[in-house]
Amino acid sequence: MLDLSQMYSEYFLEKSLLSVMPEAVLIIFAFIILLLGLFKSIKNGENSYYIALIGIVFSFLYLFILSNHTIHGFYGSIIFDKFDVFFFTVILLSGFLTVLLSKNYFDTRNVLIPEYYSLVLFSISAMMLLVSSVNLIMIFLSIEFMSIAAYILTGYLKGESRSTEGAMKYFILGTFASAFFLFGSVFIYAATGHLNLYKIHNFIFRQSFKVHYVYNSHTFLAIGLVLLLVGLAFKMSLFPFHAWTPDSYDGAPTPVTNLMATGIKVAAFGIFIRVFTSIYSFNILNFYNILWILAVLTMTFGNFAALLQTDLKRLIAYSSIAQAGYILMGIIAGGYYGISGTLFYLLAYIFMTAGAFGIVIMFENLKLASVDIKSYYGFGFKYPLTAAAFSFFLLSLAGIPVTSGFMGKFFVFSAAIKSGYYWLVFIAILNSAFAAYYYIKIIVKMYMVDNQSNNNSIADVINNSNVTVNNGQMEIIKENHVTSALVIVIILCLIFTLLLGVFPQPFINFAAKSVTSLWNI
Amino acid sequence: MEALFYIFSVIAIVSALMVILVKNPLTSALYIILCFFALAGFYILLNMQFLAAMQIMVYAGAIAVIIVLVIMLLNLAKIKGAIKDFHQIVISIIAIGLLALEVILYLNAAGEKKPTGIYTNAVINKIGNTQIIGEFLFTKYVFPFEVASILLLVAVIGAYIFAKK
Repeated sequence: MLDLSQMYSEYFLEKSLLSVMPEAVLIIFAFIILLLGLFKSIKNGENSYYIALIGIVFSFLYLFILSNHTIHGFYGSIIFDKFDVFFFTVILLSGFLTVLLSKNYFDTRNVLIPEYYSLVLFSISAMMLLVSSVNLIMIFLSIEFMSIAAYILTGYLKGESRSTEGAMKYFILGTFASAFFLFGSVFIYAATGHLNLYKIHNFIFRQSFKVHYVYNSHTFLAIGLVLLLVGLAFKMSLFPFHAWTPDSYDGAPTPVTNLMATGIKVAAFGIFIRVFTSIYSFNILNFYNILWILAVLTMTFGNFAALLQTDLKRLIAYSSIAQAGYILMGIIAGGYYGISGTLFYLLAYIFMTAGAFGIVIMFENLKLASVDIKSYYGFGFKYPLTAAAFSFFLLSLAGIPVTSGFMGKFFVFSAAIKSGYYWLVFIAILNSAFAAYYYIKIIVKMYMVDNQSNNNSIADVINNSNVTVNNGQMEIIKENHVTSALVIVIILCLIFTLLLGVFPQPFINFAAKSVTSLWNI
Repeated sequence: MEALFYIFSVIAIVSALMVILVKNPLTSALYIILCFFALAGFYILLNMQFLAAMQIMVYAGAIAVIIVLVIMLLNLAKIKGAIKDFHQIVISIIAIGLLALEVILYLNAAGEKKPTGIYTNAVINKIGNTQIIGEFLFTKYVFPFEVASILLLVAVIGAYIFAKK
């Protein structure tokens, strides 16, 4: 319904514009990059890369300025609250790391550079819009916006059949998922008469007192919620809806894989938490049990499939499916502890994943190793520092103490125990022990196997590109096509992975503070 | 009114079936256009003249033209004997079962009293269909509207990137 007093108040519109300021800044910068493409001299330089970084920093700045406010914007389409502040921080960090990772990767390949950076900015802004939207129409539009940018970025390496194949599969399956989401929201609208999440929440809340009415009107609502869950589970790549994940992660350019594995997944979980706490928490149709089964299937399947992979990107793709299962546990546990644990896990997850991808990109750029795991054999001796960093990220993904992965798992599992899901935690712990096997297998191969067959070819590459290999030095820094950007990413990720692991208190406080705004409906 | 509803439904169902039963792709494209027209008829029966006009202009006009254009560009005059796969049959049977279940659930729940908004048919007829849609589009849903425009721009950029040699 239109509220006339709101409609004609100029102040209201100004406030609305404030609520989307961080996203608007990113979109403006994306347009600037596109327009600068008109000029030949600017187009070919590194300018678009720097403009993208500056855009993300400005967005951070606005986020920081607005961080203490709660703003309802655009007649209940958008909300900016503490919960958004946390997710915006995580998504912007993920975008920042992705842009840093992109530079070297695309410099050596024949692609359109300025459009790439503007698309990355567009997709980051779409993720942020997704997390901050509270209206089913707005959620659908942001999901589509985010996905379309992701389809384009997945197929960005033209002429490489795997990239095109991944984009095609992602596109077709993603369209189905969007159709499911749309269908679900139609049913929810039919059952409740509202599109706003909070109004739906209030409607169901009121209905739950009228004993007779409840049972009847739940048929539509239940159908709608199941379909909505399918649409969202696709974006989170939970088990039965994961089929696109390995192919598109594998085919996409590695920096884009990083963006999909961190940013898109974080945004999907963000909106799922928002929808879950407002609608699903009424436990219609025993949704907690459905999610329980989904979580168990997701982590078990992800880990088993990851075990069989010989391709590093596919392995990380399957392991990210398994991680989604662990993250889902925190949401099932629910409440203050569960959700804040989930948020902490997501923050930890982006740093370890970005770090691991950073090292994969580094080796890919130097043509020292393909994405085949076998080519990493014996790297522990040749590149001690890089291999050590890689091992640290893998240990973090496996959830070994001192790393952020351990603390994330600890918070999520303890929240699940607090809520009484003993079997779920038991299965999850078995799973993470199982997962440790394939992570540690790579580390063992890096340090224990001496790769004789690869020695010559690597020596050739090193001679050709004039690398001086100093033992104990960061041996690749001086190399021509590895600039400092990759090293900055890896060092940043290392610091945060360690910091979140040994000193998690400020971060978990941040997460806990942001969670409280979820229930301020 | 009731009679018109049944006429339109029969046209819609038969033409939708013909789309997948006909061998010639061009003929099935023409049946799709017929199906779109039948759907536009539903919108008119529901007092949504604006949506009906949009349905005919956008779907039966623009999208159908694109479909026909693609068929002609790819030179898909005739499809050689379609390959029947066992998995496909199993999956299609499951999908049909689920859809049938959905229809049954829908029909079961159809009798319930649903919450209705303040815009009843009488109010809409009084103010005017297009005016209400325009009012909502530029006040309450102005932000989704703007986001949709950026979404389309991104799609155009994507098309440009993939089409460029």
